[in-house]
Amino acid sequence: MPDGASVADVMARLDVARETLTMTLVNDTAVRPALHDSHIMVDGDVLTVFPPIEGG
Amino acid sequence: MGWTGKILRVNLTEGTCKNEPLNKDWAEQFLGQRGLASKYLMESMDPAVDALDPANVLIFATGPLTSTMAPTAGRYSVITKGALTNAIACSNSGGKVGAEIKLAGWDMVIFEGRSPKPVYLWIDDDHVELRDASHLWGRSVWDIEPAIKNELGDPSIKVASIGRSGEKMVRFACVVNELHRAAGRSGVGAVMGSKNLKAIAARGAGGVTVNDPKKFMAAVAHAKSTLQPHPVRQRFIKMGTHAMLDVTHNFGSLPTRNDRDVQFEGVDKLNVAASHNPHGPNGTVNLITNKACFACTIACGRIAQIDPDHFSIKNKPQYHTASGGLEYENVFALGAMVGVDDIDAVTFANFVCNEDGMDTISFGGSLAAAMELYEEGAITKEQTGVNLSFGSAEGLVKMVEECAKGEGFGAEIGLGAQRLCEKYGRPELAMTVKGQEFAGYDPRAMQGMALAYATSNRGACHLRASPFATDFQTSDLEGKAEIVKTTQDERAAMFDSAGVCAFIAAAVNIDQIAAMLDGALESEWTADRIRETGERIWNLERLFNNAAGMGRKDDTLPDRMLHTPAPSGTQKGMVAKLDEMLPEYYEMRGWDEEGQPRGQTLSRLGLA
Repeated sequence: MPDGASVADVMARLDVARETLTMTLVNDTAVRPALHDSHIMVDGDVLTVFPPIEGG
Repeated sequence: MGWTGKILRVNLTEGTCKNEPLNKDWAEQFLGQRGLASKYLMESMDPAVDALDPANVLIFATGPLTSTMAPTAGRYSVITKGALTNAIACSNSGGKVGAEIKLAGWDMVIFEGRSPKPVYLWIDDDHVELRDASHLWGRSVWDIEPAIKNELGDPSIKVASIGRSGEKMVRFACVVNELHRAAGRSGVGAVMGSKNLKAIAARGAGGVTVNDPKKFMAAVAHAKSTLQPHPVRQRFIKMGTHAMLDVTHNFGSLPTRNDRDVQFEGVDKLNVAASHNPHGPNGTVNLITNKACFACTIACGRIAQIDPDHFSIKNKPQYHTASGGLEYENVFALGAMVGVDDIDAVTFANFVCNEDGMDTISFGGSLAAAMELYEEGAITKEQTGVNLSFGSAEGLVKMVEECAKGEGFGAEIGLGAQRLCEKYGRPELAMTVKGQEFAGYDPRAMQGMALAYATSNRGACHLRASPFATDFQTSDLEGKAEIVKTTQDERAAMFDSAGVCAFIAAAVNIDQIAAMLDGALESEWTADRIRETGERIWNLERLFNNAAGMGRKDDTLPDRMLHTPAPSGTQKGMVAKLDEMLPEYYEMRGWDEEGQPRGQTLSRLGLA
């Protein structure tokens, strides 16, 4: 990814639809959908994406 | 139409079975299953009696859609005053026995009193009889299900029963059907044991009718069409709910070691990936396949096996065959909550909980409380007979075997976390609400769940409300009270009173469920009517609990949740901000500051 890529950019590259997400983490921080465009990824960041799931 | 119109009322004291017509007014107001049975419960007993007293009433209830062709239409519930909580109890189960009871022609079976000797109920369409169960008493669920089928001469008979834990009235004993499905929570199995009722066996060949078959089948087809391609269905097929373990661990809301922690370092040995990996000297793979309930096209059930050389089952061939496997609540409760990362030990504990009918969530929460008491020195190895530190797989195995039979120190664990911790002078160590142990979500890290646990009518519960989406996205409190209230109402009607399973929620919406009800029943059903019905059910349950002596003081959380910050994860430093949400919640509900429904709320709902 180019420098300054946001969470949204990474997800678009991976073809992950924003509205299906329940939880997105960058390292240990939850990043809510409203902030996906503005949260900029840094080299070495780990992005974790969990699809919607509930119950147990 | 939808409903069969017949109720079976069994007086266990006198040994009689009576056929009575369904109260149609009540059915229109409370729908079925949880809602309708709660109404019958309220009208049949004094909510203040002790749960183990013969005056407690025990109801097995189906929904109007149960046994129809609606997707997942196999659900039934057990409703009573809970032995664990002394609050209203409603435990929902799948499998096949609920549909069988409905196909036999019964909307509901009501048990009153106490049998002087062990009995089981045999329902064969409209032939019903109480049969001697003295030869079944003292035996496990796994032992008696085939025994009953043999005795009655039909392998298609479905059985719901209690194990030895229910007979001994372990406080969280449950009712198991088809060997590994359960009406799990709140000790409904202990109530059954207190009545000397060992099992219900059912065979139904009557079929079911709906009011407008064309309209109904069109609604069913529409529901199936949105369910079938949905990604959530694929996830349930592949992973059941097991996948949630990685979610809560990474997010930081996985109750670990009695909620001392919110993440578990042993997660990689218990998660979905681990269940696919060959492990141990025999290269055993834990997960074998999945399994469905009646009318279900999802099949979230897990079937698993234990490594035959594992210490828990070596030389115990009865555990060498596959059985119910790891889903989220049991892997959290028997794994992270007690600090055990041994997948075979955790699976073994799950097998035993099914074999002798114990709620895995409450067993795990109670064992976790015992482990913290042990580490604090409040109980000793002399008493327990085994190392009961957090993480002791040996301790897990020994305690589950003892508790299943109500023996040894296991019987102490069978008191449930709250009574156990009170007995040993450390009540603050019980992670419970209204006496019921937490599910797999730490409320410090999930604010909506904090409110949901505290206000659930049956004690701490992850199914009453649905705050998952909001809680995984934000800890801001705004909107949480409304989400909790709305989902409590909707779910009470849609997923606990209609007869279909909550796992269609992501793919089949409230309008689609209303359409199925509208086709099945004579009267008109809409999404708004479902919501209003749910709100009525919720308030009726609250009235029951209030009459049982509960109130605002019980809508709370353990001290640890309110004052000890989450130690790690994305919500590190947070506590459960219940006090900031509860007043708004009460206001939205139309209740006063003591959590009592106001007169105008009750009038509006027809409950005055």
